[in-house]
Amino acid sequence: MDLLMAMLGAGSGGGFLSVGAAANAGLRRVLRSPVAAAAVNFSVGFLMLTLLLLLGIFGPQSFEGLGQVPWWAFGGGALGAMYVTVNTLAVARLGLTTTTLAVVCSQMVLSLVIDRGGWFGLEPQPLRPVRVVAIGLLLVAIALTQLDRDRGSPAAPLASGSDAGDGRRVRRSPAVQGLRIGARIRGAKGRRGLGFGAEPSPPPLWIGVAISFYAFIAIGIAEAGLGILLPSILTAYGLTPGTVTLLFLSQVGGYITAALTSSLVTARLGLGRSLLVAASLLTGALLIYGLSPVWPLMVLAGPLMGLGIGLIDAGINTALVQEERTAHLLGALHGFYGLGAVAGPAIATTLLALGLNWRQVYGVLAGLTGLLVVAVLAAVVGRYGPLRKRPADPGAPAAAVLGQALRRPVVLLFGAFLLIYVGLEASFSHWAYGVQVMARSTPPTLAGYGVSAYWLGLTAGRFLLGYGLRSLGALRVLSFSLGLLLAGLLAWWQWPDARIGALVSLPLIGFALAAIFPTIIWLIPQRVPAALVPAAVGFATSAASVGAALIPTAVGWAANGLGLGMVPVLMLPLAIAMVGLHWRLRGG
Amino acid sequence: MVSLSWSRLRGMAARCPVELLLALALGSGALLPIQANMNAQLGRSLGSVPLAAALSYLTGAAVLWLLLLSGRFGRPDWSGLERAPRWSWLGGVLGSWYIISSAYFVPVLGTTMTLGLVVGGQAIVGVVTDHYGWLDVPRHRLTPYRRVALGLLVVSLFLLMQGR
Repeated sequence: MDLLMAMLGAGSGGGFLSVGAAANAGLRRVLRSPVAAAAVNFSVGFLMLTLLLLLGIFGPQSFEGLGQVPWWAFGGGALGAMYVTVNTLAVARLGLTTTTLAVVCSQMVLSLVIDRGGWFGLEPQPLRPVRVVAIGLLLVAIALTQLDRDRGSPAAPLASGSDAGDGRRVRRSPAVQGLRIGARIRGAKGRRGLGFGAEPSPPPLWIGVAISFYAFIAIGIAEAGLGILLPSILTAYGLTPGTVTLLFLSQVGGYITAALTSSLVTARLGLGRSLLVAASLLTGALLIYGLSPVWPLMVLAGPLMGLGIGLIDAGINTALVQEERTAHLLGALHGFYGLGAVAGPAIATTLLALGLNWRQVYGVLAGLTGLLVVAVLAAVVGRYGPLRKRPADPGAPAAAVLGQALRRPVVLLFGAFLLIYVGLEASFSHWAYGVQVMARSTPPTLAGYGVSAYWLGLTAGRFLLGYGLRSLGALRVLSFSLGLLLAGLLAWWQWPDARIGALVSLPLIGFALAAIFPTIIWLIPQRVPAALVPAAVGFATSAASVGAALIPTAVGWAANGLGLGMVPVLMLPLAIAMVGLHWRLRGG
Repeated sequence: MVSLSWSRLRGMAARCPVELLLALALGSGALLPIQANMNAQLGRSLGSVPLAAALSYLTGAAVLWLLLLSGRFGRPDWSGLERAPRWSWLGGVLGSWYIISSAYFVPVLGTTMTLGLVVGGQAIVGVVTDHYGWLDVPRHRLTPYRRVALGLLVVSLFLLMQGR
């Protein structure tokens, strides 16, 4: 049990080191100095750790032990610096292969000696033959990978040349050219993103992108803030946990309506106006939540909220994925949703702690979505081009198009995929904390960190997604994500230890989940004729919202009977169902 | 002029007999387990591994900046920083996870197992990034040799675990 954690923990350290080395090679190429690259590297590491320490991610810290630190223990950093410097000198002459082998060899041999002698205050471990054999094999394996690098491929000398960080020897290896092209693309994107486009004629895209991102932050906040406010609502109206779920269920009606109508609404009104309607519906629903004198009125406002969120979700996803220039932003878009979902509970908690009551908190949330109404209104009034676009005329009544789309198995497949996926994601955000605190008696702070780690993994994954899609392709990204998800779920189930939960399984699950939604949306235009795309995206995103309302509720009911500790087990079949759908998707 | 020192150093290295350089490389490899143990000790004394890692990075950065300021290690082209791909800044962030995990695991698992796992993880990720050419690494496909190497790695890590 400990062993798997060790493998994940220490092994991932090595893995990150490998990725870090590639990053460092990038710095060395531009700085033309390995020592400077290492200095930047160490400084960034120090700053990041300090930031995390100051933010309290690692819990409270104290310098009390500073007096007891043996003087030599401060030398670790200096040794790291020496290692970098000496290593570069050696690589320049010996080449990467020999140097790596020499380093690994002496590293492992000295490790054995240290363990055997029990140096540095650790208890001695006898030298076992099996370990010596293991290290021998390790060296053979490293030698094989390295030798193959030198012989196998024509680019090999360049590889060691650029890895050596020798500025003068940087040639136009394919990697460097890739770097330049990459930089050019990034540069172009940056300019467009900042609105300094060289061509003045088309309206700047960044306004639309900013509105989209803000809209997703807003719906993230609106959806996730609810959880924190539930207890207050419960007491205000004298409800039971069972009846309060009506609030979630009431939104489902709105989501379903959005699923069936979003493409019709956009076709009729155009993107800008339908967003305006949606944002107004959402703001109105939040205001009703805040002002309602009676409980039934709140339930009645639920469909409005669902409809508003569903229309925003479908409209923006469709618009981004249909426009070639913005399709790569999907990951970031959903990343911003994640940011909103992280911020929502935090905002709600803070406001409650500041002494506001839950009605006033809803007022603030309505203000946040009200900003969206204002922004979209300004864009519509200002005749901002990208929002005026209507979906390409499919040459048939919108309702017929929707019918056509729904008759395609692949559209239903996408919808089912997202329904399960979002259900799983929402179940985590609803239940992960409860499982950690109630079923596993984790201290609340640690459980809170675990949930934050989950969201952090999710958000990180989404911002990285564009990269993954470009280099792996959508189907491989999905395979990879589902594999990670199964691993994460198994780990969460098998290792109830809170630290593993917070450090390994929950962030792993978040990271694994990150790619699925945007990737599916990204796949839709590849698998569905252009005329049907809006209807398909609208259907899929709204199916997702239905899942978000139904599955956590179902998981909650099941957990009522089986105990909260069973929640991780309940999620496994959902993940396996996604694997099945993915298999179908690959096949057809 | 200043950059001469670094190139002279490099020139000296180039004239050095290979055996000496090999010894140098061996020596630099030997630094790693010592470093891991120093950081582990720092973490134990302070009662916090992340704090120890931050201090370790601070001293390391200080040493490197001093080396740079001494002017003997070449003149870096700082204007290049703007051109650097954004992810290349993240090396330190990723490296800090290595420092933290090695400092955390050395007292628990022992030096050999920790560093064995680190090397194994490094090699596996290295082979995978090479295969796909991620992170602007020159692409090296997964050849039969590398498949064998991956198999050996897994076996050796398994054996390393047995010895516990």
